[in-house]
Amino acid sequence: MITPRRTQKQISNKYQGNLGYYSKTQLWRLARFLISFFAIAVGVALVISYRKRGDERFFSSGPLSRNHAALANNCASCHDNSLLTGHQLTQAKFQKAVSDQFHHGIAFDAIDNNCETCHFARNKRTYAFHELNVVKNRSCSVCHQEHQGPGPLKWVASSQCASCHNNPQTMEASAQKGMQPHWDNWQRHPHPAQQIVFELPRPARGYTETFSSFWDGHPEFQLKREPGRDPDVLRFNHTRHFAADIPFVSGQKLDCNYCHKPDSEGRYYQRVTFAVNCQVCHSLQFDPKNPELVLPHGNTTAVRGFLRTLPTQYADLSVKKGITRPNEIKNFVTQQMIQLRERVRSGEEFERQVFFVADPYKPKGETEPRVRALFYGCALCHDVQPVANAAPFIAKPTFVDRWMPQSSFDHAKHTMVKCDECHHATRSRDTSDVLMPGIASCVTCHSPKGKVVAECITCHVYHAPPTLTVATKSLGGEMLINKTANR
Amino acid sequence: MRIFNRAHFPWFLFVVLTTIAAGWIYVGNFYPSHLPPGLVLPRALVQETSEHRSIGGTPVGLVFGVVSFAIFIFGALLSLRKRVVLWPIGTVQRWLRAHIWLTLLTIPLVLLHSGFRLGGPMTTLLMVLYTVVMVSGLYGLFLQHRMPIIMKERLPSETVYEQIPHIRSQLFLAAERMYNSFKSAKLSPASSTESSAAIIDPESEAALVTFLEDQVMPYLHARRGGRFGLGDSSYSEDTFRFVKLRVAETYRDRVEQIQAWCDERRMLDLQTRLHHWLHAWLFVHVPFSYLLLILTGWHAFVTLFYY
Repeated sequence: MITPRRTQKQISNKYQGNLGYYSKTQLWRLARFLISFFAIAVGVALVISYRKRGDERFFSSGPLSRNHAALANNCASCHDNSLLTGHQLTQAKFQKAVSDQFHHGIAFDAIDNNCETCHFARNKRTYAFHELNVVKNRSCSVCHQEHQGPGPLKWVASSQCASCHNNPQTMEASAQKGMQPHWDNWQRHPHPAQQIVFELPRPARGYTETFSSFWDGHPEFQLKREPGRDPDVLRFNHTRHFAADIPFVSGQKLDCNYCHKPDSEGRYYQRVTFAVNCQVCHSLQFDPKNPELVLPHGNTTAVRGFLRTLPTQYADLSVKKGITRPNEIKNFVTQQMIQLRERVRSGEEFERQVFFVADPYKPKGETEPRVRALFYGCALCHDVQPVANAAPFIAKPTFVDRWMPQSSFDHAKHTMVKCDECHHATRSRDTSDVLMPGIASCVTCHSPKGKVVAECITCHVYHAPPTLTVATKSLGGEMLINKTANR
Repeated sequence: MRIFNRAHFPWFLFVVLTTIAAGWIYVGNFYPSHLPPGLVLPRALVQETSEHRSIGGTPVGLVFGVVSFAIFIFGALLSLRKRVVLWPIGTVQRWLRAHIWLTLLTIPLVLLHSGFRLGGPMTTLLMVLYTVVMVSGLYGLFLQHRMPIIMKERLPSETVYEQIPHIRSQLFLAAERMYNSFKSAKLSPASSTESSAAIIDPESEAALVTFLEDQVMPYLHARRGGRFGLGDSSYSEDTFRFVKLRVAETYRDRVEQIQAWCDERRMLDLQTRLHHWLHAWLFVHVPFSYLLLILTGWHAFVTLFYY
């Protein structure tokens, strides 16, 4: 190629005759201007046409969860569009909205109000948000994050809880605030009327320890931190029941599951009852010769009445055995009463043994055969108090149904774990032992190391219950809720 | 504009430092546990409330968004600045540097504002537009960086782009004049014989007339010369060598003159092509930028006042 080397004069000569080119319309620039103008026009047209008949969902940040899917076509059911519709956006409102949002972020008050209104209409309940000492309640929308997809509403992230519970300043303020109200004013988690709940008193500073996660710094459970005593008055020794000499029941060795049966949901266990769980071994047979004859259970007056009418009881038994003639019945009764008197000197002595001796029929030496289902006396299990001129008083056992009312638990999800790994019942000799696991047992699995979910809401509920459940009885500081209802 | 030079270094440093600072503020506010103990955010930089559903709606997220939007507006003002050259508000070169680096800064800011989520239809549309604008801009930046090198190598004498049609027509007119001169000499052989009997070679002239008529003038007259044989430099070289062999010695300077026209035309074509490459991306970048600006403003308005 020839390289043109031109002088300025040559160049200017070339341009001569066309020096006004810059004032002419250049096609290239005109096209760019027109396309830009077209883009601006399209943008403006989009805004105008959207405002006239656009779909609000265009601005949605994502699909609603299936819990709120019915609201998908009506953004105004949650969002406040009053500033955009009509002429309500005044300069003052504009400034306030902008200022607020740059100080606090987008406000959710309007949405929260709509949440409450709607949920009150549907559930007929208002949500008491958190405990009395909460410094600042979280917004509904902050924890229950919407527009995250069409599945179920997203779980409340533990980070939401940690934003306060891992903040020393917030927790200190909360502790101070919580020292004012009386304990009875605190709302507690509701339970069915027949359920007995063991609840320790609220610590002076409340539950305001700071921690980052369940596995990292979560305080030890209050029940372990401030060891309580099982308020039950029944005498029970778990270890004894696991002993090798305990005979088989229904062909099986006695284990936890024999007495502790899961409820219909499998979350918790049914209450142990004498009739269902104890009687098969501990039948109230006071006469080894007549095992059919058993003492009534549950009422000392009935027992006393039974003992004082033994001839009649033996007469009834003889009829059940097929003895019909009056003379034979009389002989049978007399024979049984003589046998009984060989063991006890008087009716009063017999009554005393039944009520107050723990083991009146304990075999004397190895030569005497051991009789199963022998009645050991009420005092074996119960604390029997004498009452003048009346049947003795036996305090009703207190079977606690929920030991940790601040949290929820699902036994059905823990079937792969042996009962004793958490409860250590095989080592418990006293009724007063509280066989609840400490946090270390839980963290073994519920931690990143154990690879089992350990979110706050796995166990806890943020919302305080809507109504106050009154504590009805105090036993050594702890409270048993609804105990009266069970009586 | 080439960006690897000293004038750009302060801007580069500014963008890098601002990105680091923005990232630090972002992590410190939204993922404080991810920060090592020595880098904990000062209290003054922690937003008042940690409640957030979308990061863009928090005070920190809003600041990222507003700064990005302000940069968008500034970026769009560049075209205005170019139109009014004499405004005493910094040279166009400075504006262009600021345009490049500030819009590059919007990449981290927009990502932090969005919380690395596309969001709903509106925000997804904005992200798509933003991506188109940024990709086209980066492509343009690459071309601006690369083209001067190509032009220096292949285009030794540059012409004002708007003058190209004028010069192209001048070249054609020159060829036409030469063609007419040969034709007129052919029509009046007596006068030409009288004036320069020794110089005139009818065969050479006939060959040149044919060459001009068949190849040169159509090539110089065409809007696009690329599809002609003479538009190819090696073909052109061969052709002119052949033409020189066909004409008498006295006509060779004419042949070289014609070759110079064709070479210049080829350079004009190359320059036109490079100019199109250099500016075509603006047909995407500029309109999409305006569209992005309008829709971002709309997005800001609706999200601020419809919540």
